[in-house]
Amino acid sequence: MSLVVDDTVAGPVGTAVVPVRPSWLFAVCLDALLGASAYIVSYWLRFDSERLATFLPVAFSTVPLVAGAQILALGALQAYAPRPKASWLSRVVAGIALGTAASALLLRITVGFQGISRMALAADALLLSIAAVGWRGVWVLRARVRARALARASVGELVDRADEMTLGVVLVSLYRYRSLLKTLVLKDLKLKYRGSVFGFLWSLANPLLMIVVYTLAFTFILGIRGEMFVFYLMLGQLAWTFFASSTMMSTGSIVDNTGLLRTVRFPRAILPIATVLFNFAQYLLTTAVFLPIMIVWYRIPLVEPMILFPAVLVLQVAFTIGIALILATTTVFFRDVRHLVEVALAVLFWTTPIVYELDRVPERLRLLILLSPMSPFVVAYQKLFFFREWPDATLWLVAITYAVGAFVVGIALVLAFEDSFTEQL
Amino acid sequence: MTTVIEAQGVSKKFLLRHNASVELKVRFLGLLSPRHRQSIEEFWALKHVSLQIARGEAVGLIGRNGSGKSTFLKLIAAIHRPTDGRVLVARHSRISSMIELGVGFHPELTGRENVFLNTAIHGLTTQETEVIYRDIVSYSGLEHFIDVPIKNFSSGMYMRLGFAIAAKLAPDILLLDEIFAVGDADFQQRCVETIKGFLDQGKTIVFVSHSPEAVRTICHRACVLDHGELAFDGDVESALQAYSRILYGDRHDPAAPASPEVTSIAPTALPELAAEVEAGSEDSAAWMFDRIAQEGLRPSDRVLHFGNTSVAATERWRAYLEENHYLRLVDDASVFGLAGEAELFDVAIADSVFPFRPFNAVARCIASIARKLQPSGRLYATWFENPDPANFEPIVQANGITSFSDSEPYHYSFALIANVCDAIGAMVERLPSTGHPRGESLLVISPKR
Repeated sequence: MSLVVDDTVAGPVGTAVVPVRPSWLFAVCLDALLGASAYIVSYWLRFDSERLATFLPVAFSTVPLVAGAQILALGALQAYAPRPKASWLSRVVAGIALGTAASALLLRITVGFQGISRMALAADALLLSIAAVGWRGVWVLRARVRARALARASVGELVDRADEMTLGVVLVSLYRYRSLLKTLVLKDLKLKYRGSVFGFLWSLANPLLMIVVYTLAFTFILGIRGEMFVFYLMLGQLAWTFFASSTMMSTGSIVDNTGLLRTVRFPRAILPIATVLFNFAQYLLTTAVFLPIMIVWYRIPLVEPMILFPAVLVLQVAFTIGIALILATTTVFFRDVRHLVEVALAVLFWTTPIVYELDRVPERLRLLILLSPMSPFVVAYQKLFFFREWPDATLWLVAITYAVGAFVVGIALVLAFEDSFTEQL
Repeated sequence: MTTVIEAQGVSKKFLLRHNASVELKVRFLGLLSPRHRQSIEEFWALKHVSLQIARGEAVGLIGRNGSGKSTFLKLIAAIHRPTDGRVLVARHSRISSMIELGVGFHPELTGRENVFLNTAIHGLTTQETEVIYRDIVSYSGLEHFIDVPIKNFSSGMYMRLGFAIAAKLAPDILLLDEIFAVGDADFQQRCVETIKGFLDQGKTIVFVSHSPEAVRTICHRACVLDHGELAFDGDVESALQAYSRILYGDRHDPAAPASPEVTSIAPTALPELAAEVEAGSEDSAAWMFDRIAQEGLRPSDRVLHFGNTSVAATERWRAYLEENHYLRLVDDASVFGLAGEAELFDVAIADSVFPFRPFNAVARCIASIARKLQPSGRLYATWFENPDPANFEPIVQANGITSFSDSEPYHYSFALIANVCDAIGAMVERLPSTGHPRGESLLVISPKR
């Protein structure tokens, strides 16, 4: 490798460098701390204030067991090995799942589930996975920044171009390559409608058709009559379409551009990001058509919470970009991801409150539905425009965690593996 | 002299996956039978290569197929990363690579849109591209087609646009990979002029080529790579000699410049016959002219010449044949790009091509040239013969060159060539050879029985 940095170790993944954690002790402590907080936060998310008081003592008493089991499982799966295997990401996630399952089993055998929330345990596993993978992602970024700084200090007029580019990806070179980003997005937009008679109208046809079908099915066949059901459906459906088509297209964004990757050096992250922005442009255009129509049609008053619309948009774009980067990178190594995404999207559509309301979900399942990837964003849109109220803290917490976590992990993953893309393709 | 490119002990390892498949089905089969087992082989494309290139230098990289030339170029372009060692490039220098021209093009977009896309990939902003856009278009000579979707372009237009973009990016360092293997003579002439222009401006050029002539024309210095190692680094002539030593085991120099006695022959006065070629002449290009003349070459014939040749020999062909009846190509790869040539050829020559191509390339070469020949036309090809198809051992040929069945220089059995010709309805014969300088035998292939 070009630079010997104290905190990077050449991993056996092709020739990619897999930066590792500083020391196992630091990693264990951090994971334990995050594990304990995730467990408590899960209770907070699960119960409202008065019931929380009754459940918290039990939560505190079982924290050592749950967090301990998770750490042990992580250790057993070699997540703390000095030279992590290529699959470190999946090892971390699998370790946490295993640890949580083991502690749940142990609790069931010893004290039973009296006073312990199984939903909170599941939420704990999910939140801890995001946190554990997330801080490792931050570590990768940090290692890159330091490598860059060292490269600057040690070499005079000559530089390692690969290093220069890799770090730059984070923000600087995304800015430098903004023309490329713009050109790629415009290219996709142009190509999509080139030669078709109705052009952009097709983008409106798809969500319109879905809304019509669901409305017919729910109001006439199932006989569920919600007020302004069409409007409610539209908010979720448009946001979902943006997410679903972004993730589907992103799996091929790197694999399908082999020729480009093999001849020119440019930040690889650009390709999935351009895919997401292309879909985002479509989302904005369709929203710009449908939203005003609905607001006028249903005579919806404009209220203050609606000014938060851009904030939710930013969070959703960051989240989608993160997921797209993760999927694009993993597809290079495992082509199955493409098919997996198709299946997962079909399931996730129904675990996201698009055609039903979150508040109608049985109370004990509500937390899990809220933790489904797209839920916080979809629910936030519904809160802003349909219920016209400020989204509560729980929603913001989950949305921000998801957006930041996915974005950091996505960028870190591309940075860690982009050097071996050209050899894998 | 300031160094602009520096390789410090660079090694590059590739993993070759045989039976590569991650499919469960295949893995399961692998448990049962060793034939389906996946094996991973390490392949070192480059081993401890260190070299420095100064500003304004034109360096040729030569070596056989698979010797690591293109890998080295891609390391400079930072497309691959070295397994060991590092490649440094002058800070803020713009690198333009002509590694595979036109690869980044999108067939559905127009020429204009592709120009903007391609320059953006190289890091230019839209404003910067607008400044050079007119230059690119006029340089490519595609003014009339620039608003047509690029899928309607011919392969030649594709390359012209790709080359124009790469040339107008105003690079400080230009990386060229086998650029003369493509395009017609006019295009190649243009490339040479552009590259010389770059050199006059003090730009740095790294040039990968199999063609000794191209390296001579462009480079001041050449590096020979052999099995991933730097075998020679120095002036062009010595490098070409070192390269031929690698190829022919110290015997002959296929790339030697035309010898003085050949150049002195008056172009119009045809020498009697090949017997006159002195035994010591090492220029197969000169020999070839005489040999074909012996076979009954007429000035009105249209000739397609690729493979080994020299400047002097080229002049002789041109002088003897009628105007525009001689097309010389450096690499047989260009034969596949000859679709635009409407007229068929009477004579095609493949000199020292077959010994340096794996058999599938030889077969493809025969098939595509056969299509370019008049029904009465002939393809003359030199080759090394393997008299016994069951023999896989190296063979020492007439002139002491050793040929192999699995590496360059290759030998093939006549039956193998005959099968290919049979399959495309062509006819092949062995000609009595009268002393090819490197001891290669001569075949004649005619497209119609």
